Amino acid sequence: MKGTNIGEFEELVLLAVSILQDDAYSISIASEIHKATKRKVIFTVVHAALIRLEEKGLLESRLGGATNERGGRSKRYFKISASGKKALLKAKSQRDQMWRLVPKTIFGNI
Amino acid sequence: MNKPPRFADKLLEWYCNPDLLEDLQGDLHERFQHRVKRRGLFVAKLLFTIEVIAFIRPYTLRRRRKNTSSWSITLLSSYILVAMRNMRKQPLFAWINVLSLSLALASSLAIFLFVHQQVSYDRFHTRFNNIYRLLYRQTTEHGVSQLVALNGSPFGPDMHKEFPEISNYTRYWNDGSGVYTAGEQTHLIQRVALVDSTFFDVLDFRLVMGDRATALDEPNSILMTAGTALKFFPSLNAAMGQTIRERASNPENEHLYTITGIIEDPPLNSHLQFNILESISTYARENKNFNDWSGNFMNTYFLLSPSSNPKQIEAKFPEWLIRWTGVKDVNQGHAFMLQPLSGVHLDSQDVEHDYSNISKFSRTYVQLFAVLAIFILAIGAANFVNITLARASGRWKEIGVRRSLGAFRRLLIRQFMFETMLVVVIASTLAVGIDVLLIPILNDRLGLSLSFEPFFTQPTLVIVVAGAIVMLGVLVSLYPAFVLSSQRLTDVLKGTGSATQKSLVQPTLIVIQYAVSLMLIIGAFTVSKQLSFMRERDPGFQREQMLTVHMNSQANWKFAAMKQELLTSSWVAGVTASSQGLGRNIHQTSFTFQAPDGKKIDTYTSGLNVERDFFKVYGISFAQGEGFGESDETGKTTSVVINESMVRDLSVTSPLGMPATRDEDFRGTVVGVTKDFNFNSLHHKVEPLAIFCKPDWGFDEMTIKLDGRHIAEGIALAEAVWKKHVTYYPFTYTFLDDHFESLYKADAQLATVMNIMTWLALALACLGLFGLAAIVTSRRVKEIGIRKVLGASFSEIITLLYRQFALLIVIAFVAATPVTYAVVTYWLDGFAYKVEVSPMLFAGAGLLLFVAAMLAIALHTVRSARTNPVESLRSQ
Repeated sequence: MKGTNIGEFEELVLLAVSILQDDAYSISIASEIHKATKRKVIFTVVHAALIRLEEKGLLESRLGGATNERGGRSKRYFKISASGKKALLKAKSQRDQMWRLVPKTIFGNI
Repeated sequence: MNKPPRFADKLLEWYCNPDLLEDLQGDLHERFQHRVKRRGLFVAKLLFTIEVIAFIRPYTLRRRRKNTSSWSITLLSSYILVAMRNMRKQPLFAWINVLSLSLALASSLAIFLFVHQQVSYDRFHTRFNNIYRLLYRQTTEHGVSQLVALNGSPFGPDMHKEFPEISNYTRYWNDGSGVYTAGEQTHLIQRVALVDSTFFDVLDFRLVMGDRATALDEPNSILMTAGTALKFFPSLNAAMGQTIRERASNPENEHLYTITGIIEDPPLNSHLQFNILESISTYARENKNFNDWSGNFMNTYFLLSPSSNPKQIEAKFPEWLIRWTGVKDVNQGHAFMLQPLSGVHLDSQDVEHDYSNISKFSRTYVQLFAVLAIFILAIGAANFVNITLARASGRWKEIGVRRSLGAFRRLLIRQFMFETMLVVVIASTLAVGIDVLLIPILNDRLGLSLSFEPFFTQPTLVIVVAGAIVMLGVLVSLYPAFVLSSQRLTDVLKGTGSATQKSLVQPTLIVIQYAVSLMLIIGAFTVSKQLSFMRERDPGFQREQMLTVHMNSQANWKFAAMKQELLTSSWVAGVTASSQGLGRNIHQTSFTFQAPDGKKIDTYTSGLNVERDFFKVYGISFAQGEGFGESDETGKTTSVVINESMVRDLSVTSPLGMPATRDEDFRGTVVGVTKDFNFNSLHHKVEPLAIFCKPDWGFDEMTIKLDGRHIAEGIALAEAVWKKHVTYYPFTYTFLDDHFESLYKADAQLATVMNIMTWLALALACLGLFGLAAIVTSRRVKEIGIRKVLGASFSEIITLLYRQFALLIVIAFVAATPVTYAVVTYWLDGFAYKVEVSPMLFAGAGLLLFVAAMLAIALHTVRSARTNPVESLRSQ
C-alpha cells in the first residue's frame, strides 16, 4: 500500500466526484474529466479507478437513479469520503508546499 | 428504443461480478443509447461489444469486498491438468477410486429412489396433512384384538355431523371386481370401489373428463379410468354419458350406471388403486341394513380442519360412542383411532383385512434400506479416503514445490478438494449411467416400479441429490486435503511426510468397512435363510398344484355339477370350496362355546365356511374327531371343527361334543379338532380358528387340486367346465403357492437387495484393501529388500506383511459381532416362526471375510516378497 498517497489520475477522479456532488456517477465523472483536461478519457479506466478508490475507502457509493435509457438499471452514485477528502487535501498541500520552494525566477511572475 | 447486441449483453451478465453488474450494465446501456443518437446504430453496437470485452478485467470477474484469493482460470486449468496426470500415472488407483465410488453411488441412488417412492405415498393430495383414515380395534374378553381400517357405513356421516373439527369425509368401499357389459363388450374389471359424492373434495385424484364437483352426486353414477373405458367404447368421448350394466347372477340384482366421468389412473404412489368408482348412494338407497353400525366393510377418510388436533378428536370418541350406540361398556371392546393419510402405506403392518391398501410396506424395511445405502456409501467413501491418503506419499514433491512457489495452505486444500470433486463428478455420472441400465433389471427381478421420473417432476429432488453428492465430495476430500497440506515444508521437501503412516484413520476406516461387511453378510444370510424357511416349512396343508378360482353366486349354484364333472378326469385330484382362500386374512366371527363343565365362553375368532371335502383335499390332519359329513352339507346337523390353538385358548380338555353357537340360526357341536396349520403367512402365529360347513351361505373360492404331471391340461379342463356352467363370469385363477409367495414379497425383496448389497460391500471393501496393500507394500519395498538380504525367508516376509491387515480384520469381527447379533435377532422377532441364529453363522461369515481380505492383498504381498532384493535396492 502506498498509504494515503494517490496517483494523478486518481486525484482527477476524486476532484471530479467532488465537483459533481450529487450527480457523480461513472459517465458524468468521465465526461467531467474530459471537459477539464481535454484528454481522451477511456471509460473502462475511469470505472476501474472508481472501484479501486472505493475499495481503498476514498469513495463511498450508493445505487439509485435508474433511467429508461439505462434499461431501468440503477446508477452507482459516488461521494467522496472523509479519508478521500484527507487524501485530496494532502496531495494539494504537498504540491503547494513544493510550489512554494520553487524559486520564483524560474516561472517569472505568472 | 434500440437494444444493444444480445450476445454481448449476455456475455457481460455471465462474467461480471453480480455486485458490479447492475450499475455497469446500466452505464454501458446509457453510453450505447447516446452513441446511437450521435454515431448510428451499427457503430453503437460495435462499440458496445468492444466495451463489454474491454471490461473483462480481474476486478469485474472476482467478487468485490470478499477476500482476495481467487479462482483464476489459469489455476483451474492447472488443477485439471495435474489431476489428469495423476490419474494417468496411477491408473489402477484412479480406477479403484472411481469404480468404488460410482458403484456405491449407483446402489445408494437406486435405494434412494425406492425410499423416496415409498415415503412419497399419498403425498400428492394437497391436504394430505389434514386427511386421516379411521382405524378400528376390536378386542375380545380374552384380550385377543384385531386392528382393521374397516368401519360400518354410518361412521363417516355421523362423526362428520358430531365433530366440528371434521370438515369433510368420504367413504371407500372396496367392491373387489365386477363384470360389466356395454353393447357387445363384456369384461371383468378388477378394483371396483364405491365412494361418496365427496370423494373428489377430500382426495385429489384427477379427472380426464367430467365434472369433479358433481360426477358422483347422482345414484348410479360411474367413473372409470381411460384404459377401462376403452375396453367398452371406441373413444373416451363416446363413453361419456353412456350406460353400462353391472352383471349379477340374478338379473334382478343387476345395476345400470351412467358414465359421468373418466378418471386418470391413480398415481403409482397412491395406496388406493381403482379402475372403477361408483356412487355409493346407489346402494345406500336399496339396502336397508346399510346403515347398521356394527358391520365393518368400508374405509372411512376424514378431512380435518387445518387447526384441529387429531389426538384431541380421538379423545372424544369414547364418550361419543356411548351416546351414539347407547351401550354403556361399548368402549371395552371397541376403539377408534385416526391414522394420518401419509402413514397409511408404511404404518399399516398391523392392520388386518387391509384390502384397499394394495401395496402396503413396512417402514422398518424402508429404514433398513436407507441404512444399507448409507453403509455402502460409507464403504465407498472409506476406500476413497484411504487410497487418496496412501497415494499422497507419491505426491510429496509436488506439494513441496507448490508450497515453495508460494501456494498458501488454503490453495493446496482447494486443489485437493477440486481433484476429489472431479473424481466425484466422474463417479456420479458413471453411477447415473449404471442406474439407467440397472433399474429396469431391478424392477423386473424385484417387482418394483422405480423410475427417474421424480427427478423431472420435482426439481428440488435434483438439488437434494446433487447437494448430497457435493457434501460427500467435501467429506471425503476434507481429511486427506488437511493431512496433505499440513506437513512442514522442510519435511515435505525431504520426502519424509510421515503423518499418514502413524495416523489411526486408515486402519479405523478398514475396520469399519469390514465390520459393516460382516453385518451385511450375516444379515443377508439370515434373511435368505428365514425366507427359504418360510417357503419350505410345512404349513400343515398342501400348497402345491392347488388351483384357486374366484366364484360368483352362479358358480355357487353350479358348484356341485362342476365338481362332479371335474372329478371324472384323472387330471383332477380333488375339488372343494371355501368362503375365503387360505393365506388371506380370514374374517373374524363371534362364537359361544359351552365347556363340558357348563361354563359359557364367548370368543371372537377367525371363522371359515368350507365345503365338505375341504380337509381331505387340502390334506389337513386331525388331532381328534373328524370333518364334516353329508348331514352337515344338507343342513340337518350343524358341526364345527376347531383347531388346536382354539382348544388351548378355551382351555378345555375334551373339546369334542361341545356346543358351539354363532347366533340364533347356528347352534352347532364341535365334531373335530385339526392339528394347527398356518392358514396365514408365517409372520403370524396360528390363531384360533372355527370351521363350519354352510354351503347355503356361499363360497368365494373354489379349489381344484391338479395332478402334478398334467397341470396345463388340468387348467384347460377346469376352464372348459367353468365356461359350460357359468354364463358370464370369467374364469380367473391363482395357484395357492403363488399367492403365498406374494405374502413374502417384501421379505423376498429385502433378501435380494441384501444379497446384492452384501456382495457389493464385500467387493468394495476388498477393492479398497487391494489398493491399499499395493501402496503399503510398495512403500516397504526397500525394507523387504534389506530383510531378504539379511536372510529373511519368503514365509517370514509374508507373515510380516499380512500381520497388520489380519489384525484389523480380527478387530472388525470382534466389533461387529454383538451389534449384528442384536439387529438380526430384532428382525427375526417380527416372525412368529423363525430360524435360529447360530454361532456357526458368525464363524462362517468371519472366515469368509478373512479369506476374502487375505486374497485381496495376496497379489501385492506375494509379489513384493518374491522380488529379488537386487531389483529393489539397486537404486541406492
